[in-house]
Amino acid sequence: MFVRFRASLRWPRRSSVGLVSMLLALGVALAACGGQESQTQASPTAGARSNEPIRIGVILSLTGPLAPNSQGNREGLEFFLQQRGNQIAGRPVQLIVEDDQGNPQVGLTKAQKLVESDRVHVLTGVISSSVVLALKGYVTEQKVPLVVMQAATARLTGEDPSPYVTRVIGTFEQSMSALARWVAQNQGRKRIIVMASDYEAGYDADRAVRATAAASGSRVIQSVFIPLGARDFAPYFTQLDPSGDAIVAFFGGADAVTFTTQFKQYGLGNRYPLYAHWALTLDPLLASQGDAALGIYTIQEWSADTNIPENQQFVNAWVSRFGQPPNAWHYLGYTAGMVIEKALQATGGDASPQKLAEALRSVQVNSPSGPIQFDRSGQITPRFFIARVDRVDGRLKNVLVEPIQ
Amino acid sequence: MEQWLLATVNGLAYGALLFMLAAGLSLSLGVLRIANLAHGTLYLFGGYIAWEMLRSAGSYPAALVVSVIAVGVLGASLYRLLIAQQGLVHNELGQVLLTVGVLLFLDDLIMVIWGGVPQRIAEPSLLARSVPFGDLSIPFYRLFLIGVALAVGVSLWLFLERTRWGSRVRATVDDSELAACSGVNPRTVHMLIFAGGAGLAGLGGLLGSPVVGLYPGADLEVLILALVVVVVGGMGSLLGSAVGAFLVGVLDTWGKTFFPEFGPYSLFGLMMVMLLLRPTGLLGREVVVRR
Repeated sequence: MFVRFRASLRWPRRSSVGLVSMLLALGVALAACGGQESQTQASPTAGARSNEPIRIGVILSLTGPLAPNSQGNREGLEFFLQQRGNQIAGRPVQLIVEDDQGNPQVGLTKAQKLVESDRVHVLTGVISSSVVLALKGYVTEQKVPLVVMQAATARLTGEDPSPYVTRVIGTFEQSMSALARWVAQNQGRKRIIVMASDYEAGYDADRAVRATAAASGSRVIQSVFIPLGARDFAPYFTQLDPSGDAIVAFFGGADAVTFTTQFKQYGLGNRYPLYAHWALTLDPLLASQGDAALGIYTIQEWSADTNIPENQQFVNAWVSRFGQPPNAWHYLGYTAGMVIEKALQATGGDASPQKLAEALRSVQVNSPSGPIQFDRSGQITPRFFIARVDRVDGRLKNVLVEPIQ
Repeated sequence: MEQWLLATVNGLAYGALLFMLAAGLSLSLGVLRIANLAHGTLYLFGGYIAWEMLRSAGSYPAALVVSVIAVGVLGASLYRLLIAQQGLVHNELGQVLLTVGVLLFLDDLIMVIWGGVPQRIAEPSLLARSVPFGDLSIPFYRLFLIGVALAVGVSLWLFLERTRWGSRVRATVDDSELAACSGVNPRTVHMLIFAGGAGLAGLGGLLGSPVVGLYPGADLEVLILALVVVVVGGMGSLLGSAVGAFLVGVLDTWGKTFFPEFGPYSLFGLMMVMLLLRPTGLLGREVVVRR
């Protein structure tokens, strides 16, 4: 006989169900909110004197699956400000960082706090596409400029663009279309399977690959969407159509590590070549992915190895400060800082929302990835290139393969 | 047919993983009736300690021993210094609030020490192979997990049922006053069970992280999975947890394989049905009331 215990506790029979439901409710609530974190380094001061600090509100997903990305963006922006001695256009700078936990509702609340209580001059950051869509209407209504670092849904700038929003990363539509064209034309793949995270960004990626593949003489034969934070990809692997000849994937953060390692373990690496957005094999993830990442092709918009003076300057300064090269998250945070600086220089340090928003639209910045500027919807057009994960001097690395025009 | 077979083997492997995660919780929640919501966090702590050991010492046995003992000691002190000290042994709401506090604290501590970048413990090279299975292959490590889960389950059962310490545990749980009269110190026994549950969480951290990965937030996911298993299997029954884990693992994998659009809900759907039809769980027993 197996062990069964007679409990010695004295509670009515129903309470065991009560306890269970209480536990579950709490557990689910906790999982939904994650931890809470907020760092405030500024107190709102009245008046608009020109030596008054520029207040920059930073909204990032510092807890949850997108935490690593957020940390990188933050370090990049902070590094930029340190290089400038914490002064932009002759005015001191205050950063006020808030955590949206990857949740649109929380993100909106934090934006309201930053705008209405801290009275920031400009908002930046934003990792999650769901959060950025929740913020778009609010910043437009409040007339506060928003410089988006990483949330790359095409819907932000594609549909009804806001004059207050600019973005320093390519949209998923831009990057995944460029990737799909390369896979179809240069690699000659005819039957593509899309595997993507089951949310806004994943659908964007799928739409872009479908449209471009069809226009490039290839086609998408299957799309598999996998919930964010899935631990076991095996059930999705067994569904894959055996007649596919390539997999185009879109995963980031913790999911990128799980997907890559299990893809290899289930023997799929021998069967399908894998092409992905750069979020899948970002340098900080490679150590955890190990050899499973070898040979994966990704579409990139910035690399530490690009030989232009702006990039070498950025990379060398970073290496001498931290002892290792920066990654794409750092690049995005750094570039957002450059864009804000350039716009404030153009207004002569005037941070009033209308002027700053207009200046942001028309800036031209020599970023580490080359000169960038915004189109009428506030979107940049990145210079894409293909990289492949190789082992260089015993370390895994995204090695440049070729540029895409 | 082959897809069914593959899905079933995968499901069993996933169930084994779930059992490893839930066995510790089944001890503290099922046997002691102490609601330890920091269970997932102990799991994550164990995983990170093992990862750190592997990085510095590079030895699996060392990582195993250190993480199990460290998390066990952490669990023992959680019980002794917080739960028992605060007189919360019979106060569920107090336990929930206290352990959630511990969870938040340890979570932030993990964030401070190890940061937010997801880490992964690589499986020992001996087990890092894939076994061909029709067109695809199955990671050998998954099959290994099934074996480990069975071994852990059987040794727990033998311990509780066939050893002197096991009978002390059962006596304490059945009637701690009578047990105390026969020379067993119930507080020590409780603490040891709790520490054992924590140690199992630590073991789960080492064994589970090649599959689950280590990242802030993994603890809450693990906690919920373990709660689902304990609820489905029934509180107070180790066999229930084992059956619950394999049932949940297989049904969840089938659900995701054949009805992918319902993937995120299959797990909780099963739990909901179970709560409606059998609130005490599969093999759970009704709690005897003595007031």
